[in-house]
Order: sequence, then structure tokens, then C-alpha cells
Amino acid sequence: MARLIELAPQINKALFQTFYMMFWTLGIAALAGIPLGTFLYLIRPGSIMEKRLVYLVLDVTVNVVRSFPFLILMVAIMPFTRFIVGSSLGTDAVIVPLSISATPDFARLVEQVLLDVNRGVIEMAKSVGANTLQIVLKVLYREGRSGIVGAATMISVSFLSYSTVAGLVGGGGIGDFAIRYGYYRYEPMVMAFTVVLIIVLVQIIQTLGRILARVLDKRI
Amino acid sequence: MIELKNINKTYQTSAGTLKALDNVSVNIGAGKAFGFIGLSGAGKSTLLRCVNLLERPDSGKVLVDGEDMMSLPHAALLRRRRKIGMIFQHYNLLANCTVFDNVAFPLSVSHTPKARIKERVEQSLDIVSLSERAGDYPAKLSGGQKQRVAIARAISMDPKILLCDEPTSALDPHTTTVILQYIKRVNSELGITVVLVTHEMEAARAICDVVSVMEHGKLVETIDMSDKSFLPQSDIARHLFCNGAGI
Repeated sequence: MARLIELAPQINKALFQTFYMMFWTLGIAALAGIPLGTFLYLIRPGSIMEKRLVYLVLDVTVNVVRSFPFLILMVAIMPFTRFIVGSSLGTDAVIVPLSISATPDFARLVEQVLLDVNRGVIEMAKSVGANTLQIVLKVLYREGRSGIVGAATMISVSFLSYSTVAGLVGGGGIGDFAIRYGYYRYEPMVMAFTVVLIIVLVQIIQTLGRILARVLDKRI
Repeated sequence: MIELKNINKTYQTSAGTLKALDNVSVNIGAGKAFGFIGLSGAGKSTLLRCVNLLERPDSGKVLVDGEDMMSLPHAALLRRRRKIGMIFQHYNLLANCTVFDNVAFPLSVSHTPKARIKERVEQSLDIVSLSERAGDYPAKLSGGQKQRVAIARAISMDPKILLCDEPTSALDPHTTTVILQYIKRVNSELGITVVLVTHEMEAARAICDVVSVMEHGKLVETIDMSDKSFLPQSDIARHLFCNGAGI
């Protein structure tokens, strides 16, 4: 217990780093993933603005990026990371691979959510003369909004475990803390405490996500 | 009002090519209530969708108010569709929008000013007797109420035409009667031309002036409903008119 109190400043710092990474990664992944997922939905075969070839290329690209083990992706894009944030080490540097890894995941989830939107409603929108942008904003996002919140929740949770790897390049965060203090230094109490802390974090994220999704969902 | 000339439409399916519409020509007069009746797969819904070009025919001409729909540029077609209301078998309401916002949807798509939207939505909801439900979400409504909201939505733009795609096929007989009464009212009181697609003879009988019978993508015969002495000529018409006798 005394050891935990002693480590409190480090734990605080690690938590702050985690939230900092989560904020930026989720923001970037949403900003890039939602339009990408929407685009995939719109151009897929049989959809509103079908473009088979573009879909095929994007579809494979998304799968390729999703296939990369996070650690390998992080190392592979180091030059790019250095170009963007000026360094390949540190918390800011980890945000780059995390965002790149989360974006196609987010896009795929958004595409699935939009596929679940009732096609009849889209036909209705066409019948009243809505253009594609109006269909996206006034129909797809409105009807799919709780699903998109669900997607963001899922990305946040899986991101927590990815960010553990971030320690390798000095990213910090609560997962990194668990590895450094709990695992490398053989402090099982510290490790157990951190794991519990992460479990609580996941619970909080999941619960907030569920509440928000329920508030937004008027279907039942 | 609506002229369809030599409409053809084929689909490629896994089982080969399907001729959904086979050289269909029909003329629907302004202010009329016109019915297309036939069994499932006869092509009547496809034909209805050709009027506002939700389906584009492979060949033929679609004239609405003398305007050649198929030669309209995309943006003009979108504007043109706003004068053609449509209701569907499964209502197609936005589940995450209130009744008010559902009725307002076509108006907001066409950038109508807020005050005008409010006015039109209230008038339209009044016509279908649902003014008190404006703030409710569709999940709280019965099937018949949902279809009434859909009717209000379709007439909120002051259309000249109302396309009805099997509007009562998911409803019980009593609710069907109520919905048909509202459609009839839209036709006779607002002077909106109604095109009804259905497989239920009673629905067609209740509101239509003229009914065309369809089978296998072809128009088989057209019947003036005011002519009490008519005799159905085709097997399919006899089947539909005489409750299954004769086929």
C-alpha cells in the first residue's frame, strides 16, 4: 500500500498520458474514420454512388492496415512519425501510429453501422429529392448515430490495450506503467493494482458509451 | 399528367435476365386515382418507381406534366421529385426523428424557412388527424399511425402527385380502411393525382377511378371502375376481381 502511495505521482502522470493519447487518437480516428467509412459505404457495389474499382482498392487498403500488428506498424512508420511530430519517441509520437491503426478500424465499424440503416428510409430520402450529402447527414448519421457511438466506444477500449505497447517508444500511459513497474520490476502488487485500474477504466468507457448510445437511440 | 411510353426494364439476376417491365404504356389523367394491381413480382412497384425515376427504365419515355423526366439533369430531377410525394409499405419513417421532424424532412431537404416548415407540418398533420403526436417518436405509434405520418410527410411539399407503394399491405383490414380514406381525401379534397400499387382488390376498389391489371411485367387490361357492367377479360383480372375464382 505504501508503495502505491509512493508511486501515486507516476500513476497520475501515466493516467494523464493515457487520456491525452486517447483524446487525440479518438479525435483523429473519428475525423478520418467516419468520412472514410461513409465513403466506403457510398461506393460499395449496389450503393448510392457505386464505384467498384475504387471500392476494391480502398477495401484492400483498409484490410492491409488493419492486418499490421500494432508494434510492427509503429516501427515501420517511424520516419513518417518523425516527419509529423518531429520525433519518433514520446507520447506525441505514439499518437501517430495509434491514429493510423485506429482509423481503418473505425472506418470499417462505421461502414457496418451504415449498412444496418434501413434501406427503405434511404429510398424515401431519394424520393423527396435529397442529394447524397443530405442523405449522409440527415439520414445515415441520424439513424446510425448510436451505432457510431458504439463504434467509438469499442475503439477506445481496444486502444487502451494498444497503448500498452506505446511504452516501447516512450509513449507512457497506464499500460506502459503496468509493464515497467509491475512486470519488469517484479512488483506484483503494483501490476495487480494497475490492471484493476485499467479494468475500471474500461468499465467507465463502456458504461458512458452505452448510456450515450441509449440516449441517442429512439428506435425502441 | 403522367405518361409512361413503351417502358422496358430488365434485371440481371443469378437465375438469368428478368424482364420486369415489358413495353408498358399508360396514361394517367390529372386528379385521377389510378391503380395498378397484380400479384407479387408482376412489376407494378417497379413501374411506380419509374414515375419519379427511383428506377430508371432501360428504354421508353416518362412524361410528368409534359416534362420528359429522363432527360432532366440530375439537380433538376431532384427538384422535380419534390413535387411527387411517395408512401411505402413499411412507412420508411426516420426512427430517430420525432413525428414533426419526419413530416418536416422533405421541407428541410428543400431548404424551406423554419416558420414555413412549422406551418406546413402543422397543416399536414392536421389533415391526417395526428396533430397531438407531433413530439412523439415513431416507435410509439401503431402501424396505421405511422402510415398517416408518412402521408403527412408526402403531402407536406404540396405535391401534384402521390405515389403509393402497397401502402396498406402491412396493415389489418380496419386500419387499411382508415388509411384508404385518408388517401382518398388527399385525392378528392387536395386534388392530388394518386397512383396506387396494390395486390388487394378492396384497396383498389375503395379509391381508384381506373385500375390497370399487371402480370409478368405487362399491362394486361385497364378497367374503368365507374363502369358497373364490365367483365374482366383476362384470367388474372378474373382471379383478382372475383376473389380467386376462375384460376
